[in-house]
Amino acid sequence: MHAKISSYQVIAVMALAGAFAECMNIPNDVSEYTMQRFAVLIISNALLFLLCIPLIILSKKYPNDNFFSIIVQKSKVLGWIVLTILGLHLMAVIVFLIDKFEFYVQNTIMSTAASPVLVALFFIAVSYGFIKGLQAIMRTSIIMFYMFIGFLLLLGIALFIRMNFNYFYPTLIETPKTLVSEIIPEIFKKTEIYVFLILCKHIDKKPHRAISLYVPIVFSLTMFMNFLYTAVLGPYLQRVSFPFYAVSSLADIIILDRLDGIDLVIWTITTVLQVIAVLLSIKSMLSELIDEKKAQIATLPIILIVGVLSLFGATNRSRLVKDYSIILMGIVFVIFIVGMPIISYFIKKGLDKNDKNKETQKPEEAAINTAAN
Amino acid sequence: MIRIKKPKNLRRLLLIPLLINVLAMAGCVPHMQLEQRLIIQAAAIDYENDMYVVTIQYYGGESLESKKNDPNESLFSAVGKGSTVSHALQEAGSLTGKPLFLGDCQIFILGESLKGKDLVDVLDVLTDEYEGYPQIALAIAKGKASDLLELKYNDQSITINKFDQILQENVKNGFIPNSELYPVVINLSNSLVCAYLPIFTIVDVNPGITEDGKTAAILNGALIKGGRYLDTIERTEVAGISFIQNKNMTSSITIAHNDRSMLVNLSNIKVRLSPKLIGNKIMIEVKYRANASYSQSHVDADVVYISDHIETLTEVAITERLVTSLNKVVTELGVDVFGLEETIRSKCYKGWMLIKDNWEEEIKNLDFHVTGKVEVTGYGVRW
Repeated sequence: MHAKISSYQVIAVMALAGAFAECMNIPNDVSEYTMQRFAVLIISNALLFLLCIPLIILSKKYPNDNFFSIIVQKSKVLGWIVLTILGLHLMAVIVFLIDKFEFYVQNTIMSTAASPVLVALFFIAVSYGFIKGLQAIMRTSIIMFYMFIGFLLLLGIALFIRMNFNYFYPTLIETPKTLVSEIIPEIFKKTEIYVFLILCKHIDKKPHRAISLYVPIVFSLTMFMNFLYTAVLGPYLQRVSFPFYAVSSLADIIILDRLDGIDLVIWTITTVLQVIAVLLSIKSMLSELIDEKKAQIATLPIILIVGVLSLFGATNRSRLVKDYSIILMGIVFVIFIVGMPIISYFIKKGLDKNDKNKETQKPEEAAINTAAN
Repeated sequence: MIRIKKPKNLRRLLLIPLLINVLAMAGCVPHMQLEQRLIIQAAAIDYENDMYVVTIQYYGGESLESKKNDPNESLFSAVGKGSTVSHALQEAGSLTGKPLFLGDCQIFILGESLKGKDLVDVLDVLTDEYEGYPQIALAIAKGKASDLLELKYNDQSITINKFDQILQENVKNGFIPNSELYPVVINLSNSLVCAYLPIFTIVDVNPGITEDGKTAAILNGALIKGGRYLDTIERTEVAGISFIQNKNMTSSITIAHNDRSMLVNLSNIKVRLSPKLIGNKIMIEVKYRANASYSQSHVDADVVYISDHIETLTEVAITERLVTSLNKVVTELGVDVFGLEETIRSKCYKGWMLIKDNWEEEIKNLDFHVTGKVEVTGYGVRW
């Protein structure tokens, strides 16, 4: 990675991935689609922003470092340990992403597609993007981001006549019991934050801005989408498998009627981008420990391993979700997104202090030596 | 071991399998051409001898040229029977040897014999099993549903397209509410599982229009409660539902002026339902606003005076239409096709908490107060 990427590019790509994940949510599995969803989104995003504050402070104070480079500066052994834990977790995240992608593809337009073919094709695209590098990927995805925003606005206008604002009744008062159980997974499933955790070092000018703007932007997009779902589908929303697809097909715009093809393309590209971003994060961490070229080659077997794991996961969806539950993801989330930035901030502070002491000691030592001579 | 010198070479190397895969994709993923599928255009469902009878109309795969000569010639019919709608559809499809495709279906007609059957189960076949087009028109047939599909129009138009036109014209003129699949299933999601569907009746007309002098017309509507076809309501009561649901923003009403009937076209209709808790009872204030335009066959000296008079007459007629509709549909039958549940929950939550446990009965005790304002924005002379 020679040149740095801009903070706006990262925001656009990650927001696209985050918002599109919301489009493809499977209500029965992940969230209750009621008016309560708004409360869930507001509270979970507010908490998520609070949890990201240490990460924002770290990237503002040390824009040319990330938590991992600071840990490596302290100890290489510690670096390898952190890399192993986080690397394994990120690999699981990739398997999770591909599993969702495969489930969506097979449940929409390619119901008879063989899983190995889908996964193999996907990984060929991922490998190509990975070799191309972060900068190329970010530039490409900016176009997708604008396309997605355009579609979303068009959808909002086209669906206005079908909206019923009376569906926004206060169900929160009626079903408060499930609120906590919905908020927690909503925070922990924001796996894309890991990318910021590591890639902030490669972001040009004020990387903290990318992180601090990302959460409000994704929040606004998901709120708008949920507004559309609720206003158009009302209580029927709980029975719809893919709410975004359902509301799109109700718009009186022919191109949106055939959205199943278009959204499959965007969904494929965003999943490819997310997986590449996670792989580049692993590579970025590796390059702190070994040289850039070796890190690039060392990541290729990781792609192969994840590909094989994805094939296994694709046939055992329910088992995969059970094995790598959202709670386990939550523990890793708390350790790395909240804990590590705080720890590395103090490590860096300590290292800076030592450097300063050494620098002040150097002239003193020189003076002592000359005096001794 | 292959030694890769530069990442640039690797990029080129990776392009080869990528291209091969893209080219081979069509062969890898099993797919089906549209002409190999049974593209259903219309389905009529009846219930006879404890069995669902499904009559489907589908394109026979003829070329577009044959469609141009006589469009009805390219449509074929098949009948299937089964203990469920799904089985009956499958049987009808199996006779043709092609897998069913309902994504292009124009109309779904339910026979009168389905009265008392759970219509939600029937519609689930469309929404869940076959992913039917969300804007499929739904209607009930007076008598046998399959009889409607046998009508043949002399103007070379496809029968089901004619039905679609009839529905659209009625919706545009404010006679009936929208009866497309998704608006209906959204309505059916309320706690009383209520919705409205138009009823097609076969009537005698000028023999020039159809081959046998019969056509389909919408003379009344069907109310669904608890997911079942409950009762039939008159055309004026249906027009009241359409006015309050107010999704099309246009309507029309006939008034008596100078001992003559005059048609007033209404546009920019806005209806607001405001529930209020008075004591232990909920009173719903129905306020409407609309722009009106009319034409008359003679010139009046005082246009302003006439317009004021027509505004008053139209307001009286609309109010009467709404009161009649609300009395029949809500007070007498206890059917919620006006979105009363979400309106009370949204705007009068305290009131909703009082009545929600006994909503099925409490809906009949709601009080309505209808007021409105009509403004004449256009008038003209009909020569």
